[in-house]
Amino acid sequence: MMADGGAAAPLVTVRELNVHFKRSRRIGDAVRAVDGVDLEIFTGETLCIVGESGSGKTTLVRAIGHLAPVTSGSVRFGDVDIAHLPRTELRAMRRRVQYVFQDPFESFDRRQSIFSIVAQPLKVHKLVDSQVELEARVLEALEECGLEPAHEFAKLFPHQLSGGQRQRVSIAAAVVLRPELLIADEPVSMLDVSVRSDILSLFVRLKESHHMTLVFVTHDLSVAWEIADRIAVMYLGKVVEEGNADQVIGNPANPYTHALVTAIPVPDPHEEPAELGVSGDIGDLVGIPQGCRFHPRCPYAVQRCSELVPPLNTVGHGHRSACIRNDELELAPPHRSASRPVTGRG
Amino acid sequence: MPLLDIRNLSVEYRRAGRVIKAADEVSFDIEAGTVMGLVGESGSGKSTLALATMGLLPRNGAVTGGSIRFDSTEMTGLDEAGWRSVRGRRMGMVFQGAMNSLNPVRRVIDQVVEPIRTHEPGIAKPDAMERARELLLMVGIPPDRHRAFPFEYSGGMRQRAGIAMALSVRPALLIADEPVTALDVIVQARILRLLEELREALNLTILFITHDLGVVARLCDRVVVLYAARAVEEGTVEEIYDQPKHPYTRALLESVPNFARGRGKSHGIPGTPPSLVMPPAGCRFHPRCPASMEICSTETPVRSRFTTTQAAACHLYGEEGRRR
Repeated sequence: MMADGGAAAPLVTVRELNVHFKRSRRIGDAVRAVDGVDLEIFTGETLCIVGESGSGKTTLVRAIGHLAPVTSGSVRFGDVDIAHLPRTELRAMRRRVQYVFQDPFESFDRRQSIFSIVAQPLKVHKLVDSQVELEARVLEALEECGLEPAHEFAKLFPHQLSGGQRQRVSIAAAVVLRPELLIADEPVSMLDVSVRSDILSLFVRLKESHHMTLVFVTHDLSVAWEIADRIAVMYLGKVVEEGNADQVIGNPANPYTHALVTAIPVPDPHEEPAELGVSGDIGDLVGIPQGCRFHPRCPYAVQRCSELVPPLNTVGHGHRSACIRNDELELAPPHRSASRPVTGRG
Repeated sequence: MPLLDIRNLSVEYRRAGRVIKAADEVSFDIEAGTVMGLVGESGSGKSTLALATMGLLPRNGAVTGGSIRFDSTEMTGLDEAGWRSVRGRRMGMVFQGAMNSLNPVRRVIDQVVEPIRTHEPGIAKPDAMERARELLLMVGIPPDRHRAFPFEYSGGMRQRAGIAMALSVRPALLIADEPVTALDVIVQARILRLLEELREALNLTILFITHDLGVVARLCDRVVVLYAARAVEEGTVEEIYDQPKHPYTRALLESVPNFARGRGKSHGIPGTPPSLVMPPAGCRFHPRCPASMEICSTETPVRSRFTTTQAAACHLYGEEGRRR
């Protein structure tokens, strides 16, 4: 389980991280995809980074593994600052941080067999001495990822597999390197619901058996709630709330998170959909609003919200929220049942 | 008399010399003023049924059996001219990617006016404009945005404009194929709320196609669950969610994270949905079914009826199942 409230040392510490992309036409008006993010990722936890499209969640995790250029700030992995690592030391770092992406169809060369897809990272990082060892490692990884009989799957090509099986292959190709940190970016969004939850439990199982730390990016809060120890919610480049999963989903402190949780359609016809006070959507915004970025859409916004950038303040044990009205707002739990243990169906 | 009555409908596609049966004797009907959900995963045939209902099957697809009665008229065998008088006029359509149904170089309001003037040639232009304005306001687009181009809209606004277009000729039936799937969750919730409001205000009849059981629970009155081109269960939303009879329906509901049920309680269905080129014999769900019996792999189950509204096609409720 997670390191509650920072009892253990973080595996990754992100400080004042900025990733800005220059736009070609409007000079000087960069896209601030990640804007001043502070974040800890604790050893052994599952941290979900949640947000809508354009929230910066993908850019943030890409910057953590050196896949996106860091404009300023630091990403410390133990004692090493990844953001400013010399090229020569990057490869070793890359082995310790592995990714699984959304589209299992795109991430493979179609002419490569499943065996060579999973073998390739081992060869690139020169982690095996012999063909025998290579085969053993690949088959073991396939088996662990539920692709059995492994020697049969190893002979196949990506087009012969279902979407769920292909995603299992990409997970195998990531865990075969035995990374310390596994970063999965929307790995189940393209999969059918009936195969989704088995892939989710595969992630959790591998995390436990390999003593990995898991960072899971998703737009779907119900997926996050299913597997996360902690959740960080992003909005327009900033983390607006973080805490353990029960706090963030059951009793969100930030009006944005509250809206996000309230908006989830619950598979229960007896649950009365709650009223959503939020207006507009991210895409309606031209430029980034002054003050709190959510204030133009927020039903609780007051004058000060447009003047002050709210800091991420502690609102409970290990629970932080960036809203200047945290002390005065009393947000009702968004779903009757998520906030308390339930025995039967709602 | 149902507004839409689909009986034993079969649809086949031909591709590279192979025949793919994408709908296999599917039956359901929709009463006027109700919302029917068609639920299924990829390859279940839900979009094929929507396309067949609109007469929009691609060239390599055809209705090979059964009937589609819309407003007491048989639609199968209708020629393109016949379809054109129904589609966009008596049936409105909303699709997943609203950008694809909007013309990028025409102002939004003009695109809402166009179907009105096409289908009601007698209407004066100012009257058509007035109705278009009302519709755009009704779907929540403020007057100062009516003359904008689609690219100036966000995804949610485009979907609103798409709904306004579909409703512009006051269709009897609205067919919505995954209309909120590509949208962020807050926008999605607001579009669902809009559909609920429109439904009340206009007494709409909606055929709602989705893979999302949360969306169905919220919006639909009745549900048909599809698996590998067949309807496996149908019922009211309460029946389907509270008392699912078909093992697939049960497993599908259990595979979705549900706040009401508690964390970590969802689990997937082993295996993968079958290919429609070589579907399993007997009940198509039997290779993945926890309750599978011998008969399931050889004989196609017939429908068992539980209430006037709920029925499921599963051998558990046939003779074999009762003997067990």
